[in-house]
Amino acid sequence: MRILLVTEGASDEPVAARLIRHALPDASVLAKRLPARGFAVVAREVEIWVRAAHFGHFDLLVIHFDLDDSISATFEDVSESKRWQEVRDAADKVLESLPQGGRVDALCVVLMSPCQSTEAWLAWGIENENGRAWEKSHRHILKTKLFGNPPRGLTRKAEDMAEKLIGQMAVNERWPQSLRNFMDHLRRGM
Amino acid sequence: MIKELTVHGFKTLVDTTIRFEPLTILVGKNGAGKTALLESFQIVGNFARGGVDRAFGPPPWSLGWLRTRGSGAVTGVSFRVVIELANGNEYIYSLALDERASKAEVLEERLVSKDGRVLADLSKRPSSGGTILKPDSGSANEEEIREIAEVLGSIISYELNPEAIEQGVDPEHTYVGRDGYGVAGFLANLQDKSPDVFERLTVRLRRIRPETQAVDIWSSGAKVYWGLRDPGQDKAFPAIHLSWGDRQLVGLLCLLYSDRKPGSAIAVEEIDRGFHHSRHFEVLELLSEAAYDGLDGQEPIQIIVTTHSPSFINKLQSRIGEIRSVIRFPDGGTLVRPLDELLQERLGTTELATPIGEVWETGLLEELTMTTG
Repeated sequence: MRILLVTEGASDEPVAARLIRHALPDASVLAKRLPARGFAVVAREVEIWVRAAHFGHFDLLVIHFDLDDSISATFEDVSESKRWQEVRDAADKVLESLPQGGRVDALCVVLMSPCQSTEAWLAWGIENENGRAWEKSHRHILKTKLFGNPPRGLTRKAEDMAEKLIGQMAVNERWPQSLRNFMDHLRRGM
Repeated sequence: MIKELTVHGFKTLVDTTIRFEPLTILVGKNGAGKTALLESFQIVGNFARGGVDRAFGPPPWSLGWLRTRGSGAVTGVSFRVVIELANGNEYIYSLALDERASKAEVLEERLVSKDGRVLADLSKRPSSGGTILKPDSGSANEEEIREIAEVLGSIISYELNPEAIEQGVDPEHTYVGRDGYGVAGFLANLQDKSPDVFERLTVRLRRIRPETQAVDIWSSGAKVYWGLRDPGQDKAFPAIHLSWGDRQLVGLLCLLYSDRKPGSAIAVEEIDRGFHHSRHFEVLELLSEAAYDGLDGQEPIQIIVTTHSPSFINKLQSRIGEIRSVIRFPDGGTLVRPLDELLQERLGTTELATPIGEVWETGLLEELTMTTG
């Protein structure tokens, strides 16, 4: 399975790649980054990523963006977020407009949308607590806690923390809800 | 005009073809092969000016050091150039070389018209040796060959360096070197011999750098120097004290206002280097005018530039037909593709709402084969 992965930042990419390989061990992942951070960039670039994955004959496109505080703290599914809906709708709209172009199966698009940010998942991976509690922590505070202020060693630290996160997922049932949603969507290819 | 260049066995250019426009912009990652393309361009120009001895030197400038390494199939180096003259006639110039006893040797040199008429080949080498592009006086096709040789011999690839541009020089040094050395001598000569062109250069500089009151030239000891005078200054700031971007700009203007023959071709590495993004549009306008219309009554010249700047590329939104994407294969070799073709192939359209520089920055128009993990 060929997967095109696009993430917002240097710390998100190794986490996303490891989670994908954890869920889909046979996948080969081509990782790319958005030219700049911020949801506005994600929203305006959905079209080119979907097109690239479609015409590049990838099986799956994973688009990462942080939900920040665009969703209530008591959410049950990330699809309740307006951000999530906006990206999903934009991706579906582009997909519907594209010709089959020799593809056997349609491209699957999965959104990796941590609440509030990937740091919530990483913090849970390090500290054995309820994952939902970390999703309520402010992302800037968590970023400082994990990567320092100013942040440094992002990729290296994120790689180590991603391994701990995967370890935590195996032994702790109280996952962050947005992580559970992502892994479900990844396995179901939606 | 140079319409096409094919290179075999030179640095990363195992088998690479590039088509040129009057203005061509090369984009690509570090190490993709942009510099190798410009160097091969320069070698063709040097060869046309003076044969093997002009094109190659002792290591690391010898052919043996410059040819593709690590590819068993590649033995020699060859260049194939398609040239179009002002009358619309097209010609193909081919040059194949190899190194024997630590010296570059010409295996094949040939000039043919597009319809297959051979104008010259190694069997018709001039009595002076060197290159078929310098035919003996009175030999067959002499005039036609000299016209083509003029285009090939005009090729210069510049890597402007502010530390060279700022230098004071001997007043006899009246041309701008590949690194920009000689700007002071060029400006002094221009002011002296062609004051109208000097004035036009100053006006053009003022359009991009409005604070410029004057370009001053002065002598000190045996050298001439240049500097810029801004409002409130009674003396110019010497070039050595100007910003990187200002020195680059004056250097670039000197290249574009140099006296060149019609059909000449130049290349400039890293055209955006040192420029704030607010200057990108003006620099692009300058290049565009020089390439398509000619600056202030000068003949148009063909221009090839490289850039890494998404901001500069964003300014090319309505002219993506001039952009060439230079891509390095993971296992070696360089491929050059017109960006519009790549957009169509990779994204299914050339009309995107996203700025083109941002699309390029994603890396989606380069390799799509490498995988992580």
